[in-house]
Amino acid sequence: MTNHSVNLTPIDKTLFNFLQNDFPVVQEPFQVLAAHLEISEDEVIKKIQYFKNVGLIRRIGPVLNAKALGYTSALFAMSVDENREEDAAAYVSGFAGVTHNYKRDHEYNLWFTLVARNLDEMDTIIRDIKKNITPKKFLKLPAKKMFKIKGVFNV
Amino acid sequence: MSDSADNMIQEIQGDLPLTRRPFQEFARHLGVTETELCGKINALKEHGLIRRYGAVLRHRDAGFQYNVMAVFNVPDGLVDDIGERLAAKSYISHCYERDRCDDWPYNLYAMIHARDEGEGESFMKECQTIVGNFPCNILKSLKEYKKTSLTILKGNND
Repeated sequence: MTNHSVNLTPIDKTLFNFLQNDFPVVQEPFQVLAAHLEISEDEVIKKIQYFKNVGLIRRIGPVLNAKALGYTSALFAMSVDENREEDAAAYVSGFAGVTHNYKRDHEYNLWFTLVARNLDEMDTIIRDIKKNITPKKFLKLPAKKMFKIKGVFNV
Repeated sequence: MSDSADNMIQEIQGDLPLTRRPFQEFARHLGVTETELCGKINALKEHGLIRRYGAVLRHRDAGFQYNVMAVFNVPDGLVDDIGERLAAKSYISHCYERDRCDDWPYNLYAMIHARDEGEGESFMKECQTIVGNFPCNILKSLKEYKKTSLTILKGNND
């Protein structure tokens, strides 16, 4: 990990990758991980707590599949004046269905993903955003085909 | 999705406690045994409602400081092949085909993650070789305003 003050031992790295890819969903998962790594259960728990404390791990839990849940989602891009960027971003972030919201270096400077239970709900939210932010330009970019979605970063 | 699956997901969709039997409380709230709960979670994984169960990263803090969205305009007949080859790269987390727009004529999108600019640029070069000599644009992520996991959506009337 080159750009971080955290030093991970080889066991830390193995555990880190295990946690992402092969978390055992069983009654005593940390004991299972401990057995794999040949360390104690307490040590596994301590290491995971450490990963969380230093901000490497956000949480351990399910990653939901929006499409399988019947939700509608799309990527959107807006062009807003630089001096209004922060306010616009904050407004967009306020919607629970907005999962990602980024500033990018382009005329289209605000990019966000919106998930909604159906198209009507999505359209209502988008109408609201357009009305309140009045972007100079606006793009709706739903996915046509998904080749990959995997936010796993092995170390 | 059944009500019981919805209830279960709402119960477990946050963060797993770091205890010896971390599913115990969830199971108690749901009125099932831990083994039953784990079985249900694994079943939802198999059916694809849950993509993955495990650690969700703060990838920027995990050292991946250079994150770009690369977009390409490739002929429709080549999208599938190029998309699959890009998706095979470990440094690409997301790869999608989207429709082109009038003033944004790109149909293939890839999110590239690297530890630093040097590494990022070498990944980008590799992608350009895979894609071939077609229009490309590279948008660096300058600021992350929000990054949350999807949770079960509830309306105002729920």
